[in-house]
Amino acid sequence: MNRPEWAPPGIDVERPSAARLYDYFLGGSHNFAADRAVAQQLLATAPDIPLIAQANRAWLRRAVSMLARSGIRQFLDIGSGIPTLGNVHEVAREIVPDARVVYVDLDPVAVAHSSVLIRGQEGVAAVQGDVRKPADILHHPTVRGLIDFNQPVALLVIALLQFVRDEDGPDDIMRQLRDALPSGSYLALSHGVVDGWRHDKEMVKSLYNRTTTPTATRTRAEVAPFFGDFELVDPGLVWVTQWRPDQPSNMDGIKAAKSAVVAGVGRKP
Amino acid sequence: MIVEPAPRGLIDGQHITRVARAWARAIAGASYVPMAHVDIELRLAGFTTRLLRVLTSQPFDPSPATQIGVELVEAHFASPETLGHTIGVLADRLPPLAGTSLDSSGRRVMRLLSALSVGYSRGLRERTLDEQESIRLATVLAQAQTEHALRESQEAFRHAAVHDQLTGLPNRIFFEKQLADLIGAGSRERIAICFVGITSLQAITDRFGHILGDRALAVTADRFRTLARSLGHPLARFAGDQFVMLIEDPPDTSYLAGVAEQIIATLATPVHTDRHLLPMSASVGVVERPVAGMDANDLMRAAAMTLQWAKADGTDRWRLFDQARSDREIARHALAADLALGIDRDEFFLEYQPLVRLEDRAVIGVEALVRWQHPRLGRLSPGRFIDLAEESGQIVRLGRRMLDKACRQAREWARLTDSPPYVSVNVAVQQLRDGGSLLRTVDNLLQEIGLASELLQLEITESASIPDDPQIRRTLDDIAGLGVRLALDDFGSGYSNLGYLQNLPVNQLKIDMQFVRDWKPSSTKSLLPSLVELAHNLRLSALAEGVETLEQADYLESIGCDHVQGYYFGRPQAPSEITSLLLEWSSEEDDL
Ligand SMILES: C[S@@+](CC[C@H](N)C(=O)[O-])C[C@H]1O[C@@H](n2cnc3c(N)ncnc32)[C@H](O)[C@@H]1O
Repeated sequence: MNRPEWAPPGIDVERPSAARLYDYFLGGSHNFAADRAVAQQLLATAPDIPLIAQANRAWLRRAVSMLARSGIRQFLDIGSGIPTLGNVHEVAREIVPDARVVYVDLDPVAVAHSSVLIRGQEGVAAVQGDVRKPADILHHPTVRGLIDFNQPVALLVIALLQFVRDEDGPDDIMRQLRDALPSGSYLALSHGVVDGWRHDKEMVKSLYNRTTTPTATRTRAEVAPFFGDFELVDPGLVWVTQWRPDQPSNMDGIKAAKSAVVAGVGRKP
Repeated sequence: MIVEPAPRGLIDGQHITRVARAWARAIAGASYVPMAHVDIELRLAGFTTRLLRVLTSQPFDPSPATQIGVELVEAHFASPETLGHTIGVLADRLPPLAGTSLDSSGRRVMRLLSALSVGYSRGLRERTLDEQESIRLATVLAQAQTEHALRESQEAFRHAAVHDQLTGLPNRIFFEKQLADLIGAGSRERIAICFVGITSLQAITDRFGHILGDRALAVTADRFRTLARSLGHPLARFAGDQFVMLIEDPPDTSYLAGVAEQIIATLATPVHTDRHLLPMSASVGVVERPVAGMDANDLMRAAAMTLQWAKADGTDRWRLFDQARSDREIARHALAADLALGIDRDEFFLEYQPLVRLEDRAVIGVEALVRWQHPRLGRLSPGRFIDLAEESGQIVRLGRRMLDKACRQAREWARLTDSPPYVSVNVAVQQLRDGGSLLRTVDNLLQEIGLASELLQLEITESASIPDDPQIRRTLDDIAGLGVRLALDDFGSGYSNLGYLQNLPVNQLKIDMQFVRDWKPSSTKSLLPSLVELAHNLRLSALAEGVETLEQADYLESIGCDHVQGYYFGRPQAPSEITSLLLEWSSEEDDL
């Protein structure tokens, strides 16, 4: 079917989606046969992926609670995925009970699922949006309704930018997003990188190309500029497992993740 | 997090913590648990305590372990691997804590773990089914939302495509579709259209700018919409300041007249803005036709034409379409389009009418008169096309062509006889205005053809603009300077500023045929003698046009008129006929 340009994206459950694959790797069943078929091939190529996903998700939890403890009361989570376990509003509200959270994802199913999950909860919303159109997100009435851009905001861009290819201008996108935040805001960003990747990169890439969101491959050095002039908090941009690990940590076994995802939190001066 | 106390006296807390720690390590990475590691250990310690209580129950009943299995899954310790590792750790660590013989405690642990596994599997299955259901629900929801959004954006798109931004009224596309549907449906017998122009708008925009122009338009459109609603007739903004109202099966023409008058009354109400009171005016063209065989384009063309008529009538007027007038205008329009092509194809030719000297009734000149041999309409006289040629500017090209033909003809006659006639050619004001080009054309022609300049005469029509236009004056002076004759045509019929006559380099006054036609032998009030006298006072020759009878000719001769032209002395005719006339005359002369 030819969709006119102004029509919203459609839903094709026959086409694997990054959101549902990620859910599968986290042990969830919010996925369809088409997702699982690709997931299994990915696992055959790179059996560490579930561990990497868990490490990333665990970092999200640590980063969000650190931000909440720093006094942040509003969170804009772009590329939020299918809400599984330890969602941003749950983590944040353990510390700041009235924290406001807006989830944004490209995947309409992920958004619908989020909406069902948060139904009836004040101060939480899920909207469909494409990070490649940052202005649309920033001016979305729901976003504007919940988030006060005169107060510090935590912008979460977690395991998202690997789905934004260079031709989509990720630097410019990030600049626009950063510019919209007031001083004292934070950016929490993680990104899958290829620096120490032991598995077949091309295979993984081609498998992801079957999804609605093909991936970009970047190195750790290419991720750093996404923070712009934000000041990285300790310990900087590091492997996701090394960022303020729980003490003691149960992630000792997840060595593989050390060479797959980098993460950092930066503060706007 | 509530940690259930370990059964006191049986097992101390340290043992439990150790089991929980080993358990946590074993299942690390097997499933994602959204907790810090310490919390995981605490949670598992709680489960360990409860399991030990079941293990040591008297009499031994393993069934509560089923529930613990369910709860493990609920706490997100949920994956097949987690179960496997859990069984491994617990089978190892629990028997020493059971407090019975190792043999029987081994069997108890087995039954405990199988009960746990049943609960765990049940929980995992439930969870899987729940998640599958929730993602399906989310998909259905998302699909519905997408469809809704799609419909909404289509709706918005469609609305924007068929509505006008400024007034919110349906636009031309919408209207044309509506009209086409109505014609197609054939459910109506007749349709009428009121085609409305807000005639004051241009002036408002010119004077106050677009913003105020748009304001005035929007306010007026609002008033119009209210009127249209109360009348129950659909309204659309057709273009710019044009609106169109559709009336299905109008009762009669007087109803349409009433509607048109109401429209004008409504729209011609001034618009107040903060600082201005903007006067508004409107014109309406009304067309009414049967639906059967209706052509929408034709209807709209008729409506637009009728609006033009209404505008031409003055402000705040309406007009009903008139088929005969429309036919005439369309024909005229078609003819104008043919004209340029006709010049290219040389469809224009000249006929010549004798100019006669009264004294001896000799043909001293001929007037060249243009004719159009139209491929479809046949021979057309200048009355049918000269003003079209003037309107379209083609007159300059046509005039030059005819001048060329006339000069060549004059040269031919000059070869034929000793006293050849001059050829008098009409020139339009536009030709005179066309810079010095007429002068150059005449000069070049005379030289090229080798025609004596006194054998050419140009006739100019008495016109208001000639005396005031220095450029035309100069052109006329220069042409006269070449020795070409000049005659003032249709004298007395229009603008007569006698003063300027003195200064024009004219040789002849051609007295308009009206004077001869109005003359009666009995009448004493004729202006003819005065006109002849006037010519003579100015030292010009007088020529009377439209002479049709001998009586008229004799009278003119009696008052001293020099020349005449008219049917009595010869109709306009083909050059060959003039040639024989000339030959006849010169042979007669020879005979004398
Ligand atoms: C790997 S998941 C990350 C989920 C979550 N942020 C986390 O880290 O746990 C990536 C998500 O990004 C979403 N995504 C991909 N491209 C996107 C885009 N252009 N705009 C917004 N979201 C996008 C996918 O639908 C998916 O849900």
